[in-house]
Amino acid sequence: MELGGYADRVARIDLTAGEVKYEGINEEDARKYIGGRGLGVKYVFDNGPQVDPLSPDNIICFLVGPLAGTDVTMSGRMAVVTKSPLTGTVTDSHQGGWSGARLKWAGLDGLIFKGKAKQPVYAYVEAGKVELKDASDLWGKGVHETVRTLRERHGEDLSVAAIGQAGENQVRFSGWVNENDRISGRGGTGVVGGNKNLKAIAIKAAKNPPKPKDREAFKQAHKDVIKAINESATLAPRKGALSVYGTNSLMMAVNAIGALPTKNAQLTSFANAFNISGAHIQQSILVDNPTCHACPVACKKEVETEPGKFHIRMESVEYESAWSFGANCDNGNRDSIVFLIDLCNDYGMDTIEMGNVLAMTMEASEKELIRERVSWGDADKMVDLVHKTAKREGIGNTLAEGTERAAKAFGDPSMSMSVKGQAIPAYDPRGLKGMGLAYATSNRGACHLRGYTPASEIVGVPEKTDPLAWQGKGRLLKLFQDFQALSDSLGVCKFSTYAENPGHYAAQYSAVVGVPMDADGILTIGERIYNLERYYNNLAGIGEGADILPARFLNEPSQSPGSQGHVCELNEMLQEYYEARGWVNGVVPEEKLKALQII
Amino acid sequence: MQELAGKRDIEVSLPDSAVVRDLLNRMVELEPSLARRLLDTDGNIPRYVNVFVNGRDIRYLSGMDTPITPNDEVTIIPPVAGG
Repeated sequence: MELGGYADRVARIDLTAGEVKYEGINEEDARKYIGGRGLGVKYVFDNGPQVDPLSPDNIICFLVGPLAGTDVTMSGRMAVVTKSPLTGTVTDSHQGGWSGARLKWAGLDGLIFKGKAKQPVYAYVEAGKVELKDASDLWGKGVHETVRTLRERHGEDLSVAAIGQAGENQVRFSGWVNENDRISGRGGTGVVGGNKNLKAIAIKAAKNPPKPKDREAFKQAHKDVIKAINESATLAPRKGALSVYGTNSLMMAVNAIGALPTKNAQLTSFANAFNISGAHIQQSILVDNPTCHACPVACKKEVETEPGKFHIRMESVEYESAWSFGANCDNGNRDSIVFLIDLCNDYGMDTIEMGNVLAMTMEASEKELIRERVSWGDADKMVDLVHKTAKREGIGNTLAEGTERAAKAFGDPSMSMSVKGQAIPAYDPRGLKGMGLAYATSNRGACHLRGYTPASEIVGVPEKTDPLAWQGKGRLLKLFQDFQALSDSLGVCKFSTYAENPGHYAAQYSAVVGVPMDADGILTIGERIYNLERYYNNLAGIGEGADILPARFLNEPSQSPGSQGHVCELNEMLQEYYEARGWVNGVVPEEKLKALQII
Repeated sequence: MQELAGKRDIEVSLPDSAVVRDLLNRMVELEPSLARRLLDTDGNIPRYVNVFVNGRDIRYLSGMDTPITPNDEVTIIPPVAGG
């Protein structure tokens, strides 16, 4: 394949036989689906939508896009793609840091694992080759110790993505965590690894970015992007909101408009929001601002909490995680939240789902549906339950099944704030109507990253829309979903979309890959990827009627200023959205599949 | 804004029939260092700054002419981002 940016090499690892084979990337697939998420969805689709996620026949792919690991700004992302044991949908989950870049530098676009190893193994990747090595000494260890051990064993220039005990114990929302505590958190991809006895991947490579096909075009495209980032109110290094406060800059804004789910979304604002906000953290416990490959923004916030039982030094106090263990559990104890995030990272669990599970359990306790006493905001109990969940001990065995399954087990499914089996992130659909539609129509379950409407509804990118208006959100969301599928497939950070538009992506793609592309063309690829995922889900039995929201958001009006009296008008938005998509009640019709050249 | 003003609190007196514009102008009179954050060259709020009155974005009320009373909560949020 002559396309630039690709290593044109994917390793297929048969864990049952212990064999590795190599293949190039099909050029038609590369042109139609790009890489990362898009290509991963194609591989998972070709493996068959009927596969049991926990069978050896399910595949798990670690893939990067053609821009990953190059000199393109913010190009450090890796996708983990599989059929989800949490939702039954196709799922992709992403991580930053250096693991994605290093996979490219090691001479590979991806690793596809199938089968099940007889005993724990890890995949060691170097110079285009993959070796399976014994991981018996790593099994049972947390991510942090696994990373330390592998770094001691294999030396410098090493990236590691590992599962913790949660993945080994098949906690349904476990993920893959890398050496910088960046987690592919959503969708339970860690379970698939644990089920296959795959503990980690370790990638050894020195910096070796592929060169763009058209260097002159790249220089201009790169210059345009740097200019856009430097002028961005959100991304400008050391000045923009993300750079100064990290993602947790959102806490006060979302709270102010009455869209912060609080006490398992019983409420829509939190009295202690400032205490857990990015502004407070920046003033009180911030110690450093780490970054990822090729990123000048440095949105990560490394903190060190006060001495005491919640003392920890860690990075990645993200908004979603701070909300999940904070407002949603009615917990205003900043240091306990940081401690809980780090604990989840070490166990390898999705903080969003874990916080939701805890909040739902608090509601169950409040309603006396369970014997276990779990009070709102009891940070010590939260820590205890995180340990129990990761180890599947006592009530933890139920919590490990995720919010939806656990709520059913407790006798009241309406307590679960989930869609298609995955719990909601940190935006209440009654105060941010577009996010309600985004959750319902996400192909991987409730998710803020498929189509991030707060970029428009709060930040005003590309233009400001009213968070309380439902009109127009269907068309807006389609555009966001198609655009944001591209970040995930190119291998660039989604935050680039705060400054870059599809034209920027097209120009960088053209320059690196060597294929002429414009904004409309690249958005069509994003649309194709989104539709392929939907088609997969339809074939897997997730079709008409699956795009729904918990009744709380539809029927219980918000009580907070800003969104007072509002519910989420999902049905109205769905009509507009399906029309924009050309779908029929959530099902992709054949003519759409043909028009997009999916079939 | 605390960093720009060098303080956590400022006290602002306004007439009974005040609007948001009056509040922001008065804040800038008291603390000129806040000007570049609160007002653009046309005297309006910059594009990425959000001003809420009781949680409602003033862009969907009466903009800078949105009336405010002593019991109202006015929230000024500088550019934010996340996801």
